[in-house]
Amino acid sequence: MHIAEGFLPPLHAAAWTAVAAPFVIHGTRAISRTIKEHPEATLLLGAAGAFTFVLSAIKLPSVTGSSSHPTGTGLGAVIFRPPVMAALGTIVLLFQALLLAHGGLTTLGANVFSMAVVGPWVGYAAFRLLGRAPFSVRIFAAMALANLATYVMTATQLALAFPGQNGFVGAWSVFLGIFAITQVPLAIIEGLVGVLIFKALRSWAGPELSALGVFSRRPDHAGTKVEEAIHA
Amino acid sequence: MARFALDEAAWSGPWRLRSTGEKALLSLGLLTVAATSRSLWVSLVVLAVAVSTALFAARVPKRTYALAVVGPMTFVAVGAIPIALTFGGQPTDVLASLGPVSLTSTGLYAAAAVAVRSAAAMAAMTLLAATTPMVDLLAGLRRLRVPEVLVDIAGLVYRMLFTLMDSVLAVREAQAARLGFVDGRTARRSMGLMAGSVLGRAWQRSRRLEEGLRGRGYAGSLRTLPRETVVSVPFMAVSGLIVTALAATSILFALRGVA
Repeated sequence: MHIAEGFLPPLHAAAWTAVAAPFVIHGTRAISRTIKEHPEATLLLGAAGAFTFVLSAIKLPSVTGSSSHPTGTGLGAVIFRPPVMAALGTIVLLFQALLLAHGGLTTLGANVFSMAVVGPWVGYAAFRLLGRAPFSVRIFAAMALANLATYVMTATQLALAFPGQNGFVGAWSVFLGIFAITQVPLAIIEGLVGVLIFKALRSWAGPELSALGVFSRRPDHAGTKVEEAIHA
Repeated sequence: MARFALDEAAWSGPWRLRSTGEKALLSLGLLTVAATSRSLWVSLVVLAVAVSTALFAARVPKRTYALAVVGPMTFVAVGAIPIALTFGGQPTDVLASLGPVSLTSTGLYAAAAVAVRSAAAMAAMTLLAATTPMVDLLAGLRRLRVPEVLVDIAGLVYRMLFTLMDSVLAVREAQAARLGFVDGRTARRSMGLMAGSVLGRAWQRSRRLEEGLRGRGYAGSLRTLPRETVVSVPFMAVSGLIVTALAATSILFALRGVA
């Protein structure tokens, strides 16, 4: 759920940009370190970014009845780890703003924080915490919770910006309620589709995913996954 | 071949050969005024300037323009509802009410102000997006010292997304022809299969690209020579004048407390 260009008051837009910046810088550094040793990682990340953008650009008729866009932040967080997703997500959000007019430049910081920072971290945390659960449950939780966390964060951002006469809590519940109509079913569907995507990925790109450490339980450093994938 | 309407307008429009700096000065200037202005009137003027410049000066196709802004405007319309309404309490300036929900004149004004500000900002951003191809914008970001890694990855994303989009469309057509979207369950399955196969293709493509580049001595940088463009002084002057005048009016209005 992208906050449209110019929707947030200027101070809020600036503040969210400042909040998102450290995560993006950290992610950029993580990518830079990997690329210094393995320049080829750039190409893999470029492909991942293009894939994320393409998935978000297509409308899915008859999946929910109306049309909807998958966000895919949970998927990206599981495959590439949250720090990398912060930087990659920023690029994808910039493309969405300039090629599809979804989101905007002044609201880029707020959108990065909800979609490329909070969503991936929550999804990834769910994926890790459910370490002993069946794989499809972990993927479902990661995808659905990443989507829900993004939506709750967006509602929070909007309520902070526009508390109105109801105060923050009142405005927050109204924003949550009004977007829940589309977002809650969407989160569940995204979780279900995510399980199916991973099933398909296992048969098509099994070796690559194992190299990224998705199927193993071993916690590892973000950069090394990409490195290993290159040399798989 | 997959297409993105705004990108296509940017490549084929008459402003294609203008320098990125010129277009950025005008549209980002308008965007800054639109996003920071507290005055409804200034926002309306920015909206009018941005839309008419895009449609008449830069000659962006009207249909493309309308289709590009309809999605985000829906978000603005839905997002403005909670701002307009007041729940519970006893507001003083009620225009209409239904149970605990009431529409107040303050709320309505606040919602209108946000919607107009957002529309103006969106029009300013669309002016940039519909006149400047992504490669020019990325070259501009490189000149602004945005980390090389990010610009390189963004460049790759742009180069790969058209072929990937083609794969998505081809897979979807094949699935639709085999009744792959006949009900919710099959649609979700088709979606999963499609995403899986397209990610696989993206992966293979990046590996093939890597092999090709390695054979040509790839060492980490994907720098290309940007096309030299002449900066038009009259264009810069007019843009600068418009933006400065609007910014000055906006500040003046804010100081005098004019809505």
